[in-house]
Amino acid sequence: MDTKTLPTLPSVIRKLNTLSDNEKSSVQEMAKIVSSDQVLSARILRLANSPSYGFYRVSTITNAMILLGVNVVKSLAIASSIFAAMEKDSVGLWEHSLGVGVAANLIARKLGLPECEEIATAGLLHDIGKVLIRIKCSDAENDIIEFAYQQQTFTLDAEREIINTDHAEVGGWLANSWFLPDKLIEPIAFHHDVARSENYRTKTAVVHIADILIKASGFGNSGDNFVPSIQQIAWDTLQMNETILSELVEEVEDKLIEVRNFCQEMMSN
Amino acid sequence: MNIQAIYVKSQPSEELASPALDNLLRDLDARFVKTLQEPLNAILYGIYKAYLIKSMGGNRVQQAR
Repeated sequence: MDTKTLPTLPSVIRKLNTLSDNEKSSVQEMAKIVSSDQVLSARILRLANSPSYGFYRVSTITNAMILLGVNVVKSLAIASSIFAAMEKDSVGLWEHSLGVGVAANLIARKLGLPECEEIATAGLLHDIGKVLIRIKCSDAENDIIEFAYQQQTFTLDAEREIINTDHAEVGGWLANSWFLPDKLIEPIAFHHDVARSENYRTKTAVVHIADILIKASGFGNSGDNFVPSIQQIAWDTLQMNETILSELVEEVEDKLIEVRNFCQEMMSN
Repeated sequence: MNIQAIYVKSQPSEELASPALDNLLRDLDARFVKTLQEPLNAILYGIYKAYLIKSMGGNRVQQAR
């Protein structure tokens, strides 16, 4: 993979990183930096009002930082180039990602977990590795799709066979290179292997289950035709049971109607 | 004009719903074909199947059959 031309951090984000590392910086100062880039601000506000965080109405970057947290706004800003690529060329994957963001948020709220917005962001970003593979290795991506279809196997296995790595590893590596916080890197890197998530296993387990719920629902297109195995460690970590899962399925399906409308709205703009 | 009654000739909605439900269940089966034998996935499959049947009015369809 060509690593020299990875999506880079805009100067706005570099300034934001510097400010957010300084404990004395105020939310207003950070919001002012982001607001100086109108395209970026518009994109962040659109995402902040997407069903993934659909419990608020966010009209300014300052509001977004207060309601969703600086980490979430920073991550959305950093990943905006990937989101733009998804919206343009990978609508099915974009729908899947939004769906996983929604499901992750609902799971986190149902289980009373802290940092629901950050968990939703991890859900939204969990497949960024797939976008990078598509952008940087489009020939290999075609081989991956062909292999998965011919062998009737999971995309993850096809990726390992064809490019000797997988989208979770690539996504984790990209998130790391962008200096995203570990609480986002681990769910991205280990959403297919929850046991390897040591420091943020609960968040990783939520994204793992959210991904499976959306695949089971058939919403969007992750590139996989099959529902992966629910890992016992994720089930145990979240103390999941059939009743909770059943309630979650209904809540997620209700919310997916909003996601579908949101995606259609975006396509028509 | 003095209209006393209007008659609408149509099929019962349950009959219209059943092919759509059959398709949804077939798609669900296809998605779970590789992992249905695993206990946790079997639970999730059962929940989705029940949800689809309920949301498509399938209980009435099955009773009608």
